[in-house]
Amino acid sequence: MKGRSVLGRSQAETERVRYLLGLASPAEREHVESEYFHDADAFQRMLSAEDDLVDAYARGELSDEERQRFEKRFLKSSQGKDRVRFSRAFAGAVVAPVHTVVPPFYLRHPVRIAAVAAVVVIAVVLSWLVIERRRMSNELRELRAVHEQLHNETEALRRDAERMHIAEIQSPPNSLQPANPTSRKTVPSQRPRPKRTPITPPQQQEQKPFVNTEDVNTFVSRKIVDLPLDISKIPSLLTLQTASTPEGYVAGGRADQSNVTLDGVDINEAAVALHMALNSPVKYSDYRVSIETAEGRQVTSVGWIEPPKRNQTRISPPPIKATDLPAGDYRVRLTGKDADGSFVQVAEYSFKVVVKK
Amino acid sequence: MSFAKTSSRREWALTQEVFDRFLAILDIDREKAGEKYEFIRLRLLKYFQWCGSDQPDIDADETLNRVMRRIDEGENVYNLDGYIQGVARLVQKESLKLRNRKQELDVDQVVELAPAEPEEVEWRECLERCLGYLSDEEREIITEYYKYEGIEKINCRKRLAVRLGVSLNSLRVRMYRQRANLEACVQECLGREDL
Repeated sequence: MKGRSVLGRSQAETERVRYLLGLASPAEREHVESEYFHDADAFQRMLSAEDDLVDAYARGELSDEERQRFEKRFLKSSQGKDRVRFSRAFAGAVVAPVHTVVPPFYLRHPVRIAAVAAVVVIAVVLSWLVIERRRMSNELRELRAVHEQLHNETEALRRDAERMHIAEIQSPPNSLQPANPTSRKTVPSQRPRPKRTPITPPQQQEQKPFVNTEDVNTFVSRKIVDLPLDISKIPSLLTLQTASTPEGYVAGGRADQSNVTLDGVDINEAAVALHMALNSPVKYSDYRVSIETAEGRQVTSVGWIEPPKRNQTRISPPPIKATDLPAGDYRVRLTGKDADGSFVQVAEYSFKVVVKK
Repeated sequence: MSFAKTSSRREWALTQEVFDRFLAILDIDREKAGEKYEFIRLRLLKYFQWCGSDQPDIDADETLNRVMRRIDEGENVYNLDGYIQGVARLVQKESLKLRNRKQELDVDQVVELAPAEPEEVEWRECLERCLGYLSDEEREIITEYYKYEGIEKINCRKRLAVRLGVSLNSLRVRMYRQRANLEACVQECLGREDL
């Protein structure tokens, strides 16, 4: 078949073209004729359809059957021939574009479309992988940082523990120490403790520190080997007396005590003053000192309220009668009254009383 | 308009008086009546052309003469278009009989145009000259109207109607007349205005 059929249009158009070519059935003819005889617009559509049919013939767009029908009907008269000639000239004048049915892009280039789609998919997947990898790297870096921090904290704790241990071993007694360093007699001192800063991991900022450095004064018991009872060191000896100053002055005491030697001392009237050094300034307003023998028998207990001074780091309870301290080993327990009324241990000391004859 | 006699048994001649009476039926305004008469004649002419008549103009005039005669003889016509269609159908049947007889005697010959006749160059030259008489807008519109084919032609004509702010049918009428004027111009250019 040469050319394309002009019948492939709407039903009304097809009916009109079939009528013009003499292909319509009697019923179709009746319908078309009644329409254009009674309706001027319908007649106008017939005229346009006729023009289009002539143009289609002039442009070679009719099928063989349509072309033969057209020639039989329209080319018998000179008028019909002139119309075709005019239509040919007119078709050339209007410069009809070459009609090409352009299929959609995706039908013309399916492989290219598929390739582009594949590239897009790969690009999306790669982008996702890069983003995911970056996210995982960040998480890993954060985890390493946390791990490093925990490791450092652990190391710090370990070093603190070692330092404490060394300090405990090496720290000399620092209270009740005789003025003369060469003296054989020593005074028990509170074990010095390094001040610790509570270490909490970042995730547990709101939790209580697991090392309490405020309420607890851990200590190590140390024995006092000798009391400064050397008779040749009167000032030191006097420090053991009631309200005696290191200079030998005894406030409220007997004025001639400075002449007393140890051998001549009436020990029944002697008293022992304890001065206990603290690691940190006092924090309680009420303290209690309990002295026990090495066997655990309580010798005496002294409770008093001493308005603490600011930054005071030494506790000096009232003197104890020397008669209450026969020769032997003693343990001194210092407790402080807490807010709830209970006494908590603050420090513990030990000393030994040796009576020289 | 022709005043030919009908081929009826009884002698009847179309007179100016009968013709004027017929125009009065078409419209009180004589000018409008004349336009309606031309439209009716064109419709009949096309009818016979599309029916394959060898002499469509003669058949069309015969139909009109018969209608005017019936009206002149006093027949009441309430549906003029339907009445004209009925008469045209009778004339077409009679014409078809005559044509069949004639085809039996004559050699059936279909004149097919050569693909490119030498005189078509003259047609193109005349057409270009006639297109030159149109305004730029008219030339652009008619060129656009007849440029395409198939579905693109339909879409183009719809777009053109929208652009001009007229209905598709109005555009169709306008283009048909424009094309008819062009054809007449080309005929005149070719020295065939008598055809």
